[in-house]
Amino acid sequence: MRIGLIAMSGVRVRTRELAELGVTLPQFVSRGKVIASLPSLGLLTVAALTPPDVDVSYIEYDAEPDDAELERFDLVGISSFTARIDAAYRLADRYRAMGVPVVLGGLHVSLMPDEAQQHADAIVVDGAEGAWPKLITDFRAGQMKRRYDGLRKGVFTPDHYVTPRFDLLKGRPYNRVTVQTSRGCPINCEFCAASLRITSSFQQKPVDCVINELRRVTEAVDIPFVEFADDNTFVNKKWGKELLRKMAPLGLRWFTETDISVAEDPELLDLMYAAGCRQILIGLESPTQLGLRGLDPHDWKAKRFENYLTAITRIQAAGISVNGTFVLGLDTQTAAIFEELRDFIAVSNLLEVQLTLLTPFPGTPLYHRLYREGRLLQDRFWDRCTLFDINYRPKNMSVDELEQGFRWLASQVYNASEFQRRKRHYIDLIKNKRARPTSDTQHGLVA
Amino acid sequence: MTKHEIEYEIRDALTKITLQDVSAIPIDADLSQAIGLDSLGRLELIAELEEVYDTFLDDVEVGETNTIADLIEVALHHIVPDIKETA
Repeated sequence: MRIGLIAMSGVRVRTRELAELGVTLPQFVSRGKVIASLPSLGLLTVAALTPPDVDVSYIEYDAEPDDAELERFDLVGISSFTARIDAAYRLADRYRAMGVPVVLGGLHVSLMPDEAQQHADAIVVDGAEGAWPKLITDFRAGQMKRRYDGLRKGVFTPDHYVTPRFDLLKGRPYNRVTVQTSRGCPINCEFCAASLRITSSFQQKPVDCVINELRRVTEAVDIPFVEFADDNTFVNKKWGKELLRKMAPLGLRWFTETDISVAEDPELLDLMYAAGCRQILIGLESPTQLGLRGLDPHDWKAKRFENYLTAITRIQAAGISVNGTFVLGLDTQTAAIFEELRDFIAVSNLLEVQLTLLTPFPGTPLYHRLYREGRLLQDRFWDRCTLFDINYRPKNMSVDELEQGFRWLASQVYNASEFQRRKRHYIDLIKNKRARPTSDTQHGLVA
Repeated sequence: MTKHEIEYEIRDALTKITLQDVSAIPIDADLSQAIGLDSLGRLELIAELEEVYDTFLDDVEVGETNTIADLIEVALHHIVPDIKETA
Protein backbone atom coordinates (compact mmCIF):
# COMPACT_ATOMS: atom_id res chain seq x y z
CA MET A 1 0.00 0.00 0.00
CA ARG A 2 1.29 3.46 -0.94
CA ILE A 3 0.23 6.73 0.67
CA GLY A 4 1.12 10.20 -0.57
CA LEU A 5 1.23 12.92 2.07
CA ILE A 6 1.08 16.29 0.34
CA ALA A 7 1.69 19.78 1.77
CA MET A 8 0.41 22.75 -0.26
CA SER A 9 2.64 25.70 0.66
CA GLY A 10 3.62 28.96 -1.08
CA VAL A 11 1.46 31.70 0.49
CA ARG A 12 1.42 34.94 -1.55
CA VAL A 13 0.19 38.43 -0.69
CA ARG A 14 -2.83 39.28 -2.87
CA THR A 15 -2.98 43.09 -2.62
CA ARG A 16 -0.72 44.30 -5.43
CA GLU A 17 0.78 47.31 -3.64
CA LEU A 18 1.65 45.24 -0.58
CA ALA A 19 3.12 42.46 -2.71
CA GLU A 20 5.35 45.07 -4.37
CA LEU A 21 6.38 46.33 -0.93
CA GLY A 22 7.66 42.83 -0.19
CA VAL A 23 9.98 43.11 -3.18
CA THR A 24 11.29 46.58 -2.39
CA LEU A 25 11.61 45.94 1.36
CA PRO A 26 12.71 42.30 1.63
CA GLN A 27 12.42 42.24 5.43
CA PHE A 28 8.71 42.96 5.10
CA VAL A 29 7.64 39.42 4.22
CA SER A 30 10.76 37.55 5.27
CA ARG A 31 9.13 35.77 8.20
CA GLY A 32 6.19 34.73 6.03
CA LYS A 33 8.58 33.27 3.48
CA VAL A 34 10.38 31.30 6.17
CA ILE A 35 7.11 29.84 7.41
CA ALA A 36 6.05 28.90 3.89
CA SER A 37 9.34 27.09 3.29
CA LEU A 38 9.26 24.96 6.44
CA PRO A 39 8.45 21.27 6.11
CA SER A 40 4.99 20.22 7.28
CA LEU A 41 5.50 18.88 10.79
CA GLY A 42 1.88 17.73 10.82
CA LEU A 43 2.40 15.45 7.84
CA LEU A 44 5.70 14.11 9.21
CA THR A 45 3.70 13.20 12.32
CA VAL A 46 1.01 11.56 10.19
CA ALA A 47 3.76 9.56 8.47
CA ALA A 48 4.96 8.37 11.88
CA LEU A 49 1.43 7.32 12.81
CA THR A 50 1.23 5.18 9.65
CA PRO A 51 1.95 1.45 10.08
CA PRO A 52 5.51 0.57 9.05
CA ASP A 53 4.42 -1.79 6.26
CA VAL A 54 2.85 1.14 4.38
CA ASP A 55 5.03 2.98 1.84
CA VAL A 56 4.81 6.71 2.63
CA SER A 57 5.90 9.55 0.31
CA TYR A 58 6.16 13.13 1.59
CA ILE A 59 5.56 15.74 -1.13
CA GLU A 60 5.45 19.54 -1.10
CA TYR A 61 3.90 21.69 -3.81
CA ASP A 62 4.53 25.41 -3.96
CA ALA A 63 2.52 25.81 -7.17
CA GLU A 64 -0.30 23.53 -8.29
CA PRO A 65 1.28 20.59 -10.14
CA ASP A 66 0.67 19.59 -13.77
CA ASP A 67 -1.19 16.35 -14.39
CA ALA A 68 2.11 14.72 -15.40
CA GLU A 69 3.55 15.54 -11.97
CA LEU A 70 0.74 13.83 -10.07
CA GLU A 71 1.98 10.55 -8.71
CA ARG A 72 -0.56 7.75 -8.24
CA PHE A 73 -1.13 6.43 -4.73
CA ASP A 74 -3.61 4.13 -3.03
CA LEU A 75 -4.50 6.98 -0.67
CA VAL A 76 -3.59 10.65 -0.53
CA GLY A 77 -3.49 12.91 2.55
CA ILE A 78 -3.38 16.68 1.96
CA SER A 79 -2.75 19.48 4.43
CA SER A 80 -2.41 23.23 3.92
CA PHE A 81 -2.70 26.75 5.34
CA THR A 82 -5.97 28.67 5.07
CA ALA A 83 -4.43 30.90 2.38
CA ARG A 84 -3.70 27.89 0.19
CA ILE A 85 -6.68 25.74 1.09
CA ASP A 86 -8.45 26.36 -2.22
CA ALA A 87 -5.39 25.05 -4.08
CA ALA A 88 -5.44 22.06 -1.74
CA TYR A 89 -9.13 21.51 -2.51
CA ARG A 90 -8.45 21.66 -6.26
CA LEU A 91 -5.68 19.10 -5.88
CA ALA A 92 -7.98 16.87 -3.83
CA ASP A 93 -10.68 17.14 -6.51
CA ARG A 94 -8.19 16.13 -9.21
CA TYR A 95 -6.99 13.10 -7.26
CA ARG A 96 -10.55 12.02 -6.58
CA ALA A 97 -11.34 12.38 -10.30
CA MET A 98 -8.43 9.99 -10.91
CA GLY A 99 -10.07 7.50 -8.55
CA VAL A 100 -7.60 8.08 -5.71
CA PRO A 101 -9.28 8.51 -2.30
CA VAL A 102 -8.33 11.72 -0.50
CA VAL A 103 -8.08 12.58 3.19
CA LEU A 104 -7.88 16.26 4.20
CA GLY A 105 -6.53 17.47 7.54
CA GLY A 106 -4.79 20.34 9.29
CA LEU A 107 -5.84 23.48 11.14
CA HIS A 108 -8.14 24.92 8.48
CA VAL A 109 -9.91 21.62 7.96
CA SER A 110 -10.35 21.29 11.73
CA LEU A 111 -11.97 24.73 11.88
CA MET A 112 -14.04 24.36 8.69
CA PRO A 113 -14.89 20.63 8.58
CA ASP A 114 -18.14 20.91 6.60
CA GLU A 115 -16.44 22.87 3.84
CA ALA A 116 -13.49 20.47 3.66
CA GLN A 117 -15.70 17.42 3.56
CA GLN A 118 -17.00 18.50 0.13
CA HIS A 119 -13.54 17.85 -1.31
CA ALA A 120 -12.51 14.70 0.53
CA ASP A 121 -13.43 11.09 1.05
CA ALA A 122 -12.52 11.57 4.70
CA ILE A 123 -11.37 14.40 6.93
CA VAL A 124 -9.25 14.37 10.08
CA VAL A 125 -10.32 16.98 12.60
CA ASP A 126 -7.96 18.25 15.35
CA GLY A 127 -4.69 16.37 15.77
CA ALA A 128 -3.89 13.22 13.80
CA GLU A 129 -3.09 11.40 17.05
CA GLY A 130 -5.97 9.11 17.88
CA ALA A 131 -7.47 9.46 14.39
CA TRP A 132 -4.99 8.45 11.69
CA PRO A 133 -4.18 4.90 12.89
CA LYS A 134 -7.91 4.08 12.98
CA LEU A 135 -8.43 5.65 9.57
CA ILE A 136 -5.73 3.44 8.05
CA THR A 137 -7.21 0.32 9.66
CA ASP A 138 -10.65 1.21 8.30
CA PHE A 139 -9.26 2.07 4.87
CA ARG A 140 -7.56 -1.30 4.60
CA ALA A 141 -10.82 -2.97 5.53
CA GLY A 142 -12.67 -0.94 2.88
CA GLN A 143 -14.64 0.85 5.58
CA MET A 144 -13.12 4.34 5.74
CA LYS A 145 -15.57 6.77 7.38
CA ARG A 146 -16.20 10.37 6.35
CA ARG A 147 -14.75 11.94 9.49
CA TYR A 148 -12.17 11.05 12.14
CA ASP A 149 -11.75 13.15 15.28
CA GLY A 150 -8.27 13.29 16.74
CA LEU A 151 -7.37 13.81 20.36
CA ARG A 152 -7.76 17.25 21.91
CA LYS A 153 -5.82 16.16 24.98
CA GLY A 154 -3.30 13.49 25.89
CA VAL A 155 -1.49 13.64 22.53
CA PHE A 156 1.93 13.41 24.21
CA THR A 157 1.11 10.39 26.39
CA PRO A 158 2.94 7.14 25.63
CA ASP A 159 -0.17 5.59 24.07
CA HIS A 160 -0.42 8.27 21.39
CA TYR A 161 2.89 10.10 21.07
CA VAL A 162 5.08 9.34 18.04
CA THR A 163 8.36 10.82 16.87
CA PRO A 164 7.72 12.64 13.57
CA ARG A 165 9.39 11.02 10.53
CA PHE A 166 12.23 13.54 10.16
CA ASP A 167 14.06 10.89 8.15
CA LEU A 168 11.74 11.74 5.23
CA LEU A 169 13.59 15.06 4.95
CA LYS A 170 16.95 13.42 4.17
CA GLY A 171 18.53 14.70 0.97
CA ARG A 172 16.16 17.69 0.74
CA PRO A 173 17.39 21.30 0.83
CA TYR A 174 16.03 22.28 4.23
CA ASN A 175 18.10 24.28 6.68
CA ARG A 176 15.18 25.12 8.97
CA VAL A 177 13.24 22.28 10.56
CA THR A 178 10.33 22.47 12.98
CA VAL A 179 10.03 20.56 16.24
CA GLN A 180 6.98 20.89 18.46
CA THR A 181 7.35 20.96 22.24
CA SER A 182 3.80 22.00 23.13
CA ARG A 183 0.32 22.64 21.80
CA GLY A 184 -1.83 25.57 22.76
CA CYS A 185 -1.23 28.77 24.67
CA PRO A 186 -2.96 29.85 27.88
CA ILE A 187 -3.04 33.51 26.83
CA ASN A 188 -5.63 32.71 24.15
CA CYS A 189 -5.70 35.87 22.00
CA GLU A 190 -8.93 36.41 20.11
CA PHE A 191 -7.30 36.43 16.67
CA CYS A 192 -4.98 33.44 17.15
CA ALA A 193 -5.41 30.66 14.61
CA ALA A 194 -2.59 28.45 15.83
CA SER A 195 -2.55 25.12 17.63
CA LEU A 196 -4.64 26.32 20.56
CA ARG A 197 -7.66 25.85 18.29
CA ILE A 198 -7.13 22.07 18.14
CA THR A 199 -6.33 21.42 21.77
CA SER A 200 -8.57 21.56 24.82
CA SER A 201 -5.78 22.80 27.08
CA PHE A 202 -2.07 23.62 27.04
CA GLN A 203 -0.17 20.37 26.42
CA GLN A 204 3.57 19.91 26.85
CA LYS A 205 5.78 17.17 25.48
CA PRO A 206 8.08 15.29 27.89
CA VAL A 207 11.59 16.77 27.74
CA ASP A 208 13.22 13.49 26.73
CA CYS A 209 10.87 13.19 23.75
CA VAL A 210 11.91 16.66 22.56
CA ILE A 211 15.61 15.81 22.96
CA ASN A 212 15.13 12.58 21.01
CA GLU A 213 13.38 14.50 18.22
CA LEU A 214 16.21 17.02 18.05
CA ARG A 215 18.67 14.16 17.67
CA ARG A 216 16.57 12.69 14.84
CA VAL A 217 16.57 16.12 13.15
CA THR A 218 20.36 16.34 13.25
CA GLU A 219 20.58 12.88 11.70
CA ALA A 220 18.27 13.88 8.85
CA VAL A 221 19.42 17.43 8.04
CA ASP A 222 22.92 18.88 7.87
CA ILE A 223 23.41 21.78 10.28
CA PRO A 224 19.74 22.45 10.94
CA PHE A 225 18.43 25.69 12.39
CA VAL A 226 15.57 24.45 14.55
CA GLU A 227 12.27 26.30 14.84
CA PHE A 228 10.07 25.22 17.68
CA ALA A 229 6.58 25.02 16.22
CA ASP A 230 4.96 26.17 19.42
CA ASP A 231 2.51 28.92 20.22
CA ASN A 232 4.34 29.66 23.47
CA THR A 233 7.31 27.48 24.44
CA PHE A 234 8.23 28.80 27.88
CA VAL A 235 4.87 28.89 29.64
CA ASN A 236 6.28 26.46 32.20
CA LYS A 237 9.66 27.84 33.26
CA LYS A 238 10.66 24.79 35.31
CA TRP A 239 10.03 22.46 32.36
CA GLY A 240 11.82 24.97 30.13
CA LYS A 241 14.96 24.96 32.24
CA GLU A 242 15.08 21.18 32.27
CA LEU A 243 14.76 21.16 28.48
CA LEU A 244 17.44 23.83 28.05
CA ARG A 245 19.96 22.04 30.25
CA LYS A 246 19.54 18.90 28.16
CA MET A 247 19.62 20.81 24.88
CA ALA A 248 22.88 22.65 25.52
CA PRO A 249 25.19 19.73 24.65
CA LEU A 250 23.47 19.23 21.28
CA GLY A 251 25.16 22.32 19.80
CA LEU A 252 22.08 23.55 17.95
CA ARG A 253 21.03 27.09 17.07
CA TRP A 254 17.32 27.65 17.28
CA PHE A 255 14.33 29.96 17.25
CA THR A 256 11.04 29.86 19.08
CA GLU A 257 7.86 31.74 19.85
CA THR A 258 7.11 32.63 23.44
CA ASP A 259 5.82 35.48 25.56
CA ILE A 260 7.41 38.51 27.19
CA SER A 261 7.55 36.85 30.63
CA VAL A 262 10.85 35.12 29.78
CA ALA A 263 12.50 38.47 30.50
CA GLU A 264 11.47 38.18 34.16
CA ASP A 265 13.75 35.17 34.65
CA PRO A 266 17.47 35.93 34.09
CA GLU A 267 18.42 32.30 34.70
CA LEU A 268 16.04 31.18 31.97
CA LEU A 269 17.50 33.72 29.53
CA ASP A 270 21.05 32.58 30.26
CA LEU A 271 20.04 28.95 29.80
CA MET A 272 18.28 29.77 26.53
CA TYR A 273 21.41 31.43 25.17
CA ALA A 274 23.67 28.64 26.34
CA ALA A 275 21.35 26.09 24.71
CA GLY A 276 21.64 27.86 21.34
CA CYS A 277 18.56 30.12 21.29
CA ARG A 278 19.36 33.02 19.01
CA GLN A 279 15.96 34.53 18.34
CA ILE A 280 12.53 34.52 19.89
CA LEU A 281 9.35 35.79 18.33
CA ILE A 282 7.05 37.61 20.72
CA GLY A 283 3.56 38.76 19.89
CA LEU A 284 3.76 42.30 21.28
CA GLU A 285 0.69 43.19 19.16
CA SER A 286 0.34 46.91 19.92
CA PRO A 287 2.54 49.76 21.25
CA THR A 288 0.11 51.09 23.86
CA GLN A 289 -1.57 49.61 26.90
CA LEU A 290 -4.96 50.72 25.65
CA GLY A 291 -4.31 49.00 22.36
CA LEU A 292 -3.76 45.69 24.15
CA ARG A 293 -6.99 45.79 26.16
CA GLY A 294 -9.45 43.07 25.29
CA LEU A 295 -6.98 41.18 23.13
CA ASP A 296 -7.03 38.17 25.43
CA PRO A 297 -9.66 37.19 28.03
CA HIS A 298 -7.54 38.17 31.04
CA ASP A 299 -5.76 41.20 29.56
CA TRP A 300 -2.54 39.29 30.16
CA LYS A 301 -0.66 41.31 27.54
CA ALA A 302 -2.13 44.67 28.58
CA LYS A 303 -0.99 44.06 32.16
CA ARG A 304 2.59 43.54 30.98
CA PHE A 305 2.81 46.48 28.62
CA GLU A 306 4.63 48.69 31.12
CA ASN A 307 7.52 46.22 31.05
CA TYR A 308 7.71 45.83 27.26
CA LEU A 309 10.73 48.07 26.65
CA THR A 310 12.73 46.83 29.64
CA ALA A 311 11.94 43.25 28.74
CA ILE A 312 13.04 43.64 25.10
CA THR A 313 16.32 45.20 26.20
CA ARG A 314 16.90 42.47 28.79
CA ILE A 315 16.27 39.64 26.31
CA GLN A 316 18.43 41.12 23.56
CA ALA A 317 21.20 41.90 26.04
CA ALA A 318 21.23 38.18 26.85
CA GLY A 319 22.27 37.52 23.23
CA ILE A 320 18.80 36.52 22.05
CA SER A 321 17.37 38.76 19.36
CA VAL A 322 13.69 39.59 19.51
CA ASN A 323 11.42 39.44 16.51
CA GLY A 324 8.55 41.61 17.71
CA THR A 325 5.25 41.07 15.96
CA PHE A 326 2.52 43.70 15.80
CA VAL A 327 -1.04 43.61 14.58
CA LEU A 328 -2.42 46.64 12.75
CA GLY A 329 -6.14 47.27 12.61
CA LEU A 330 -7.17 46.24 16.12
CA ASP A 331 -10.45 47.75 17.31
CA THR A 332 -8.59 49.78 19.94
CA GLN A 333 -6.34 51.42 17.35
CA THR A 334 -6.98 54.69 15.49
CA ALA A 335 -5.09 56.21 12.57
CA ALA A 336 -2.55 57.44 15.13
CA ILE A 337 -1.29 53.88 15.51
CA PHE A 338 1.14 54.11 12.62
CA GLU A 339 3.26 56.90 14.09
CA GLU A 340 2.92 55.44 17.60
CA LEU A 341 4.25 52.11 16.42
CA ARG A 342 7.05 53.66 14.39
CA ASP A 343 8.20 55.53 17.50
CA PHE A 344 7.88 52.47 19.75
CA ILE A 345 9.95 50.31 17.40
CA ALA A 346 12.62 53.00 17.19
CA VAL A 347 12.89 53.25 20.97
CA SER A 348 12.68 49.50 21.55
CA ASN A 349 15.55 48.68 19.16
CA LEU A 350 13.91 45.38 18.28
CA LEU A 351 16.30 43.64 15.91
CA GLU A 352 13.48 42.33 13.78
CA VAL A 353 9.90 43.43 13.38
CA GLN A 354 6.94 41.71 11.84
CA LEU A 355 4.04 43.97 10.92
CA THR A 356 0.82 42.20 10.11
CA LEU A 357 -2.75 43.18 9.42
CA LEU A 358 -5.48 41.87 11.70
CA THR A 359 -6.74 38.75 9.95
CA PRO A 360 -10.00 37.01 10.85
CA PHE A 361 -8.98 33.42 10.17
CA PRO A 362 -12.10 31.28 9.81
CA GLY A 363 -13.13 29.50 12.98
CA THR A 364 -11.44 31.95 15.36
CA PRO A 365 -13.37 34.00 17.94
CA LEU A 366 -12.35 37.11 15.98
CA TYR A 367 -13.92 35.75 12.80
CA HIS A 368 -17.18 34.93 14.58
CA ARG A 369 -17.33 38.37 16.22
CA LEU A 370 -16.67 40.29 13.02
CA TYR A 371 -19.21 38.10 11.23
CA ARG A 372 -21.81 38.91 13.88
CA GLU A 373 -21.00 42.60 13.60
CA GLY A 374 -21.32 42.51 9.80
CA ARG A 375 -17.75 43.72 9.30
CA LEU A 376 -16.34 41.04 7.00
CA LEU A 377 -15.74 42.43 3.51
CA GLN A 378 -16.46 39.12 1.80
CA ASP A 379 -18.17 35.89 2.79
CA ARG A 380 -15.21 33.83 1.76
CA PHE A 381 -11.69 35.22 1.53
CA TRP A 382 -9.41 32.33 2.43
CA ASP A 383 -6.75 33.11 -0.19
CA ARG A 384 -6.43 36.56 1.40
CA CYS A 385 -5.62 35.14 4.86
CA THR A 386 -1.97 36.03 4.38
CA LEU A 387 -1.63 38.49 7.30
CA PHE A 388 -0.96 41.19 4.70
CA ASP A 389 -4.39 41.58 3.09
CA ILE A 390 -7.41 43.38 4.59
CA ASN A 391 -10.59 41.33 4.87
CA TYR A 392 -12.74 43.32 7.30
CA ARG A 393 -13.90 46.83 8.09
CA PRO A 394 -11.69 48.36 10.83
CA LYS A 395 -13.49 50.04 13.74
CA ASN A 396 -11.68 53.36 14.01
CA MET A 397 -10.34 53.96 10.51
CA SER A 398 -11.28 53.18 6.93
CA VAL A 399 -9.96 50.23 4.95
CA ASP A 400 -8.00 52.69 2.83
CA GLU A 401 -6.49 54.41 5.87
CA LEU A 402 -5.39 51.06 7.25
CA GLU A 403 -3.84 49.99 3.98
CA GLN A 404 -2.09 53.31 3.33
CA GLY A 405 -0.92 53.57 6.94
CA PHE A 406 0.40 50.04 6.85
CA ARG A 407 2.42 50.75 3.71
CA TRP A 408 3.79 53.97 5.18
CA LEU A 409 4.77 52.21 8.40
CA ALA A 410 6.46 49.39 6.50
CA SER A 411 8.54 51.92 4.60
CA GLN A 412 9.59 53.53 7.90
CA VAL A 413 10.41 50.30 9.74
CA TYR A 414 11.98 48.22 6.99
CA ASN A 415 14.07 50.80 5.14
CA ALA A 416 17.76 50.01 4.95
CA SER A 417 19.06 52.75 7.23
CA GLU A 418 16.57 52.04 10.01
CA PHE A 419 17.29 48.31 9.87
CA GLN A 420 21.01 49.04 9.88
CA ARG A 421 20.56 51.22 12.99
CA ARG A 422 18.78 48.39 14.82
CA LYS A 423 21.45 45.90 13.72
CA ARG A 424 24.22 48.17 15.06
CA HIS A 425 22.40 48.43 18.39
CA TYR A 426 22.15 44.65 18.57
CA ILE A 427 25.82 44.16 17.68
CA ASP A 428 26.76 46.50 20.52
CA LEU A 429 24.53 44.54 22.91
CA ILE A 430 26.27 41.30 21.96
CA LYS A 431 29.64 42.91 22.51
CA ASN A 432 28.55 44.02 25.96
CA LYS A 433 27.38 40.50 26.70
CA ARG A 434 30.74 39.09 25.67
CA ALA A 435 32.38 41.50 28.07
CA ARG A 436 30.41 39.97 30.95
CA PRO A 437 29.96 36.26 30.10
CA THR A 438 27.55 34.15 32.13
CA SER A 439 28.98 31.41 34.27
CA ASP A 440 27.59 28.14 32.94
CA THR A 441 28.33 26.52 36.27
CA GLN A 442 25.96 29.01 37.87
CA HIS A 443 22.97 27.48 36.06
CA GLY A 444 23.96 23.85 36.19
CA LEU A 445 25.26 23.49 32.64
CA VAL A 446 28.69 22.29 33.70
CA ALA A 447 29.17 19.62 36.35
CA MET B 1 49.64 40.02 12.54
CA THR B 2 49.87 37.61 9.59
CA LYS B 3 47.22 36.30 7.21
CA HIS B 4 47.45 32.95 8.96
CA GLU B 5 46.77 34.60 12.30
CA ILE B 6 43.78 36.44 10.86
CA GLU B 7 42.45 33.21 9.38
CA TYR B 8 42.87 31.53 12.77
CA GLU B 9 40.93 34.33 14.50
CA ILE B 10 38.15 34.14 11.94
CA ARG B 11 37.85 30.35 12.23
CA ASP B 12 37.82 30.66 16.01
CA ALA B 13 35.02 33.25 15.84
CA LEU B 14 33.00 31.11 13.42
CA THR B 15 33.34 28.06 15.67
CA LYS B 16 32.02 30.00 18.67
CA ILE B 17 29.11 31.39 16.70
CA THR B 18 27.92 28.44 14.64
CA LEU B 19 28.79 25.76 17.23
CA GLN B 20 30.32 23.79 14.31
CA ASP B 21 33.84 22.48 13.81
CA VAL B 22 35.24 24.98 11.32
CA SER B 23 38.85 23.76 11.29
CA ALA B 24 38.49 21.66 8.14
CA ILE B 25 36.25 24.02 6.17
CA PRO B 26 38.02 25.08 2.94
CA ILE B 27 38.90 28.75 2.77
CA ASP B 28 36.66 29.21 -0.27
CA ALA B 29 33.67 27.19 0.98
CA ASP B 30 30.27 28.92 1.07
CA LEU B 31 29.78 29.49 4.80
CA SER B 32 25.98 29.41 4.60
CA GLN B 33 26.11 25.94 3.07
CA ALA B 34 29.12 24.59 4.93
CA ILE B 35 28.39 25.67 8.49
CA GLY B 36 24.93 27.24 8.35
CA LEU B 37 26.10 30.83 8.84
CA ASP B 38 22.93 32.92 8.65
CA SER B 39 22.12 36.62 9.00
CA LEU B 40 22.00 36.43 12.80
CA GLY B 41 25.32 34.59 12.82
CA ARG B 42 26.85 37.36 10.71
CA LEU B 43 25.85 39.95 13.30
CA GLU B 44 27.47 37.82 16.00
CA LEU B 45 30.54 37.50 13.78
CA ILE B 46 30.79 41.27 13.46
CA ALA B 47 30.56 41.63 17.25
CA GLU B 48 33.26 38.99 17.71
CA LEU B 49 35.65 40.49 15.14
CA GLU B 50 35.08 44.02 16.42
CA GLU B 51 36.04 42.79 19.87
CA VAL B 52 39.13 40.97 18.62
CA TYR B 53 40.38 43.83 16.48
CA ASP B 54 38.99 46.72 18.55
CA THR B 55 37.32 48.39 15.60
CA PHE B 56 33.96 48.88 13.88
CA LEU B 57 32.82 46.93 10.84
CA ASP B 58 30.20 47.66 8.22
CA ASP B 59 27.44 45.05 8.62
CA VAL B 60 26.50 45.43 4.94
CA GLU B 61 30.04 44.60 3.88
CA VAL B 62 30.30 41.59 6.19
CA GLY B 63 26.81 40.56 5.10
CA GLU B 64 28.08 40.25 1.55
CA THR B 65 30.89 37.86 2.45
CA ASN B 66 30.42 34.18 1.62
CA THR B 67 33.73 32.55 2.45
CA ILE B 68 36.57 32.63 4.94
CA ALA B 69 38.69 34.10 2.14
CA ASP B 70 36.17 36.97 1.81
CA LEU B 71 36.35 37.59 5.55
CA ILE B 72 40.13 37.69 5.45
CA GLU B 73 39.83 40.34 2.73
CA VAL B 74 37.59 42.43 4.98
CA ALA B 75 40.13 42.07 7.76
CA LEU B 76 42.97 43.04 5.46
CA HIS B 77 41.27 46.17 4.22
CA HIS B 78 39.43 47.39 7.27
CA ILE B 79 40.80 45.83 10.40
CA VAL B 80 44.50 45.29 9.96
CA PRO B 81 45.88 47.86 7.53
CA ASP B 82 49.50 47.08 8.45
CA ILE B 83 49.23 43.41 7.48
CA LYS B 84 52.44 41.49 6.95
CA GLU B 85 52.25 39.90 3.52
CA THR B 86 54.86 37.33 4.45
CA ALA B 87 52.42 34.65 5.54
